[in-house]
Amino acid sequence: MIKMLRIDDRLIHGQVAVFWSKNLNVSRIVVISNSISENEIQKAALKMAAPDNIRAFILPVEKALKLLNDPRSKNLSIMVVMNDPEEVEQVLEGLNPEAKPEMMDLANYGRIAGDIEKKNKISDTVYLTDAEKQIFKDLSNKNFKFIHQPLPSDAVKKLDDLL
Amino acid sequence: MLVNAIMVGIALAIQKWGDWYGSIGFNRPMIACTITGILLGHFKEGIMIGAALELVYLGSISLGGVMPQDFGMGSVFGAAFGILLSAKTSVAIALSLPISMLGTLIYQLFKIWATALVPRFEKHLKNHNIKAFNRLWQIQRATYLLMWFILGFVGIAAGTDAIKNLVNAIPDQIMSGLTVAAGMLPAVGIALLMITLWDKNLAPWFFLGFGIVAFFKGTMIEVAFIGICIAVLVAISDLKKHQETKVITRTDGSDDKDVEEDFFND
Repeated sequence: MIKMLRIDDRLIHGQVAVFWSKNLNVSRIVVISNSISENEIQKAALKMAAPDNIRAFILPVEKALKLLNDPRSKNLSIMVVMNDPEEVEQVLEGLNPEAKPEMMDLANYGRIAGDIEKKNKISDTVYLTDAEKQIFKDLSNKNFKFIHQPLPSDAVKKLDDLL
Repeated sequence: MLVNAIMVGIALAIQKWGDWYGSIGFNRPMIACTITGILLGHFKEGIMIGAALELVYLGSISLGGVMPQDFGMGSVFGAAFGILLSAKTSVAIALSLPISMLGTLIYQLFKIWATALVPRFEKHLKNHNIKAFNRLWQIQRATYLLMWFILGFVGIAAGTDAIKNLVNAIPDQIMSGLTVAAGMLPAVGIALLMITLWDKNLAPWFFLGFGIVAFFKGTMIEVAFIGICIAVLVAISDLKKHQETKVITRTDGSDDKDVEEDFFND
């Protein structure tokens, strides 16, 4: 069971490793990214950032889908963290209906890479280009309803209202 | 008064220098208050206020860029007012909290300026002008430290009398209420810490500490003494376990079958 799919530039960091993993009581954190899964240094750093009692996996989209669509995943408590909207679209469309994440959270995105001046400010922690905005609108139309909630103690906002 | 104001300014600058240098823990009340105490010539009071504030701010950890309160600044001012007004620790705590909130606001102002400098840093890098880059960096650092010094100086020079009048004007009933509230704040601090640290495997330790105080009338000193012994014992046994398991290498995740096994099996 995927408790949450979170979009976060920094992937596994304090907010994910300490607050959300505790709040959702997850036992697996899966980082899905084609580029990072081939980078041994980034993989090692991300695994280091995960808490001791949670196993972290850094997988390319295809491999991750195979694991998450496996019926045995239903019994696990999983958090998926990603940092690329295009890959998010691939993952959401590749997941079986019964494996659909319980929550989809666009938390921290767009402040690190690219020219922030040319992006649309969605919230203090989310900046999207026009193309990325379109991806989330499309996903919303396909009934993948995202929320925006950086920390468990923050108020839940519907992404539809922010776009 | 002028000397005290300069000393508090220096204390605040030292505390912030520690943060700038690389988060070496100078913002923890235990350190920040002690520094303030030494500079004001009241080492003992500094440590005592530091220990009390440490409990209050125990749960305040800034994670992922979220800064709940500037407890470093709150600690320096709390200790300074506590010492200069020779007030009770509860007064220091009561003053420290709102000041720590104010600190985040002031830091935000600095951040606006620092962010505005980024394009200039980038320009220097693009031109391979390392000298100019370093110069700008040093200017930024000097401004940062000077800003905190001035804040500490002005806060004490202009604020002490006002705070003194405020503290004196508080009626006794409210003051005793504040004392009780200040006594409860450590519980809030520990509760906040528990949100992130609570783990059923660690729960016995928590209750052990509680038990030492409740049943054996222990003070912080006794709890800390026993706690240190337990921590060392746990660390030694963990280290041993770690050395034993080192020989067994885990899967490196390159093999599909291994990843699957690791994912689904506990």
